[in-house]
Amino acid sequence: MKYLILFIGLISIVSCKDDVIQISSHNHTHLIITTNGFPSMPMPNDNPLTTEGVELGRKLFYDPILSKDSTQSCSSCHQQKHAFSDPIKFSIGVDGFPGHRNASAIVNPGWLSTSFWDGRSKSLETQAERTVTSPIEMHEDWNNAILKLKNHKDYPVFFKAAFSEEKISKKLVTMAIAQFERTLISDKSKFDLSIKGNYNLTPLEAAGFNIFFSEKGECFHCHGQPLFTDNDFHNNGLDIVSNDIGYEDVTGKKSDRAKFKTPTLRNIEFSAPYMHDGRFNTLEEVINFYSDSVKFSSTLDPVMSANESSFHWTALEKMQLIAFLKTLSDTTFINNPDYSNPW
Amino acid sequence: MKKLVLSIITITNILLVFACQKDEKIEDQHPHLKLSVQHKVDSQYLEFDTLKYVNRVGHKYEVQTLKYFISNIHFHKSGGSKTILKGPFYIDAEDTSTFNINEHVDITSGTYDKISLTFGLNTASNVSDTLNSIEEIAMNWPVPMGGGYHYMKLEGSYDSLQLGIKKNFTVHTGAAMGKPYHIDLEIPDSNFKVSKEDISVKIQMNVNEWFTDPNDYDFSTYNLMIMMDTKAQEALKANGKSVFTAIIN
Repeated sequence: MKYLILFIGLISIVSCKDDVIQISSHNHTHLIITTNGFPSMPMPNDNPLTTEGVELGRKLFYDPILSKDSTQSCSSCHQQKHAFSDPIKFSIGVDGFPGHRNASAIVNPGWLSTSFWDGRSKSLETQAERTVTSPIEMHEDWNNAILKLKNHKDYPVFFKAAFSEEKISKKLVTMAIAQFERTLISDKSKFDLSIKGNYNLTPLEAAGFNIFFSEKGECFHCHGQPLFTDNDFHNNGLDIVSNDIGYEDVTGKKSDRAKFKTPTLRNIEFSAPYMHDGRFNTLEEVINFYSDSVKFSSTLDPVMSANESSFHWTALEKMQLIAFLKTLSDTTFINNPDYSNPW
Repeated sequence: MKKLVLSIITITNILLVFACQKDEKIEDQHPHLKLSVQHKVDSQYLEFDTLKYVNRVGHKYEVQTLKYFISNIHFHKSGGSKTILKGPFYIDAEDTSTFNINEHVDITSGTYDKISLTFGLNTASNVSDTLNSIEEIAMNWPVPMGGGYHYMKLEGSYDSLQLGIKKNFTVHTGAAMGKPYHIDLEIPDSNFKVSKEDISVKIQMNVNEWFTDPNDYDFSTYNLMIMMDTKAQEALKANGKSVFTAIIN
């Protein structure tokens, strides 16, 4: 009988935190994300979350060891206090060259079906893989990166703990980083509290909410609840002729020209500058653009209003919208010690 | 005690072996019905992002988005019994992986008089935060506007004067201010017989039918914002009765 009890004990629920259930098996502590009001997080079968994998991913995320000259880590351009984005318009890579798009915020990435502004990575794992070798980012050779990890005094032990494998590989590195990223969950903003009845929106915020979720604002079609992104690609009318073809570069379709992935608006207050090219420095500039300056082009999203049909919000309505956007700020997210630099 | 443990392991193993064998030996006793959807504009299969279709009022138009729900699909058998697929089923006309509603509907042999379905979601099932996939959630109809989900997002652009000047249109149907506009409809000429052979039913949407019969839908009248426009919702509800046909073989 004691064997039976032991067996049951090996697979048992150990503890429940807010959004994470921990289940221990004999090798790992498996994690299940349970976020109220969110859809189930898609999880790759070959990369389930474990405490050990997430912790390894967190170390790798913050460790410059993956870059060519060991000076930059993922966190160099994805800073927690900025909702894991970069406050400068174009991040500077290890070779001193700037990128050509603003570093995206990383907020609730586990629910996103693609990564990058043009969606060229279909998973968090492949996103991490590209970043290491990109000439305008870390510009490292994967063989070198793996060699550095193998020669490190601690990483072989960390990998063994996370994946039960002695051999460190590119695949395991990206799996670990992806695991950590999937735990970057923001769901404790004022807006979330108001949904649960624990916060009353101010009159200004409530008025902004009503514009946001109506055809007067049309924000909700691309930035709907609960993720505040529709996981899709749109041309939001920044230019009549765009010098960045965006999603077309991935699909090869002219009908996708100048379309970019809808960014989440969660923590938007912390993730300036805005748009794929970081052209707007403030939320006021963003709202003014959507109000009065949307440009028509052949791929402009049908829900967008341009020219004479523009929204033309009043100064008060703009203030209301910004007040509502700031209710999506989640200070527990940008200060969460579980997401911070472990080194 | 060791005997007890051994007995439990042995019984478990025997059950597992039998369970596997049973799976392998299952043979279907019933014919299957394969249910899928297709999208056309009159006689042509729908092609996205191509300004080549003309609606009843003479507007040349292109479709950029077509996403919608159907639900409560009934196969009505002679004598009164029904096979029901409740759904809702989310369909993105640009994503063929959403076209196959059910590959293996278990259906009994006999004569079926008709197929009926609900376009959109009926009042009981059109409740915010009840659907779970990311794609379905993106069909949200905001609570301040009545809540629930869009029944359909049909979006594109049109050239009313056919002079190369395009404007956008968005045909968004749903429960405007909580008033339901879902469509309970019977698909015309959808009777069929099932014997021993599998059968295929393709439910076909003719996009152009949204814009006519009985109401000629004018993009320049309704234009972009119709989510609170009960007149537009009513016109589309009436037009929707003739949008679907079925190809059965």
